[in-house]
Amino acid sequence: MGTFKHILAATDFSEASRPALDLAVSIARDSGADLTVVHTCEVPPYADITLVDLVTPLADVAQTKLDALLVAVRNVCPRTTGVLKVGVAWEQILAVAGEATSDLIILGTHGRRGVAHALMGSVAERVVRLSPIPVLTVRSRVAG
Amino acid sequence: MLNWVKILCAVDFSESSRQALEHAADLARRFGAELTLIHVREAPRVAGSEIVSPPELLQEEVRELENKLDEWRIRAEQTASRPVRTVLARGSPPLEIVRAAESGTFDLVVTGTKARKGLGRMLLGSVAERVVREAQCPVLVARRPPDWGD
Repeated sequence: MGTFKHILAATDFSEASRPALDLAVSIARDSGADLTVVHTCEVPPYADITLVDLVTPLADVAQTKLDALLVAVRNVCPRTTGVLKVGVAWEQILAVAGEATSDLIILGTHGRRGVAHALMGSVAERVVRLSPIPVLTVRSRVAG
Repeated sequence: MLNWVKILCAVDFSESSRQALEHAADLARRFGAELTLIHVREAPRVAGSEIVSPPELLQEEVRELENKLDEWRIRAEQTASRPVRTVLARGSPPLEIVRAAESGTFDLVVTGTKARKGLGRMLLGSVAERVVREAQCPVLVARRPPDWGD
């Protein structure tokens, strides 16, 4: 009990979320846990009712960025899985946690709009509030 | 690379802080970190309305808390395989926890939540939420064993 075996790290590819990801990688490496990295491509709910496909181009870019990130992560944790989701970040993070039977979620606390470091972003707030499993929050390194 | 030297675990003697304790102690063992347990005795929230208790009752209450904290310390030491310290503070729990984290230069704070099923589950428990919001170091919010069902 207390040993984390399936870690889920959420990233938005920002510098602010690096400390959380780095920590997840360190814990996974040091404890031998599986690591899943999830990125949520956030699109508004009305994106799927337009005549032009707005989602695919965005998701493609996100997938490319995720793949690049995974190359670096797999140098340290070879068995890392990457997951790209489209939708609302906090919902998708919790969905992936369920799918991957994670026992720990790690994410940064920063807001997506680069808000001052004293505040907490709504994604972290929602995930911490609603997660049925432990959550580890990590501040961004942004000096302030 | 992972450098958790000092871990602070907040306990309120609830089921979820029992989980927090297990995680904290396991992490302390795994990473060779020094573990401190903190329990914060709540001070009355309404200014000027402090009920004056006879000193014996207060002492009794403090003694009971010290005993409980000690029981939890012993349990933590079994899991952590190393000595564990304790701190009994008084005041506003999130404030005292964050304060202790900062002054003690802890690398990680571990806390439980008071989350319950149903509507209660939407309320994280203001202590955990405030600690997450205000602590400068990483915060691990532990929970009672996975509750995927609703």
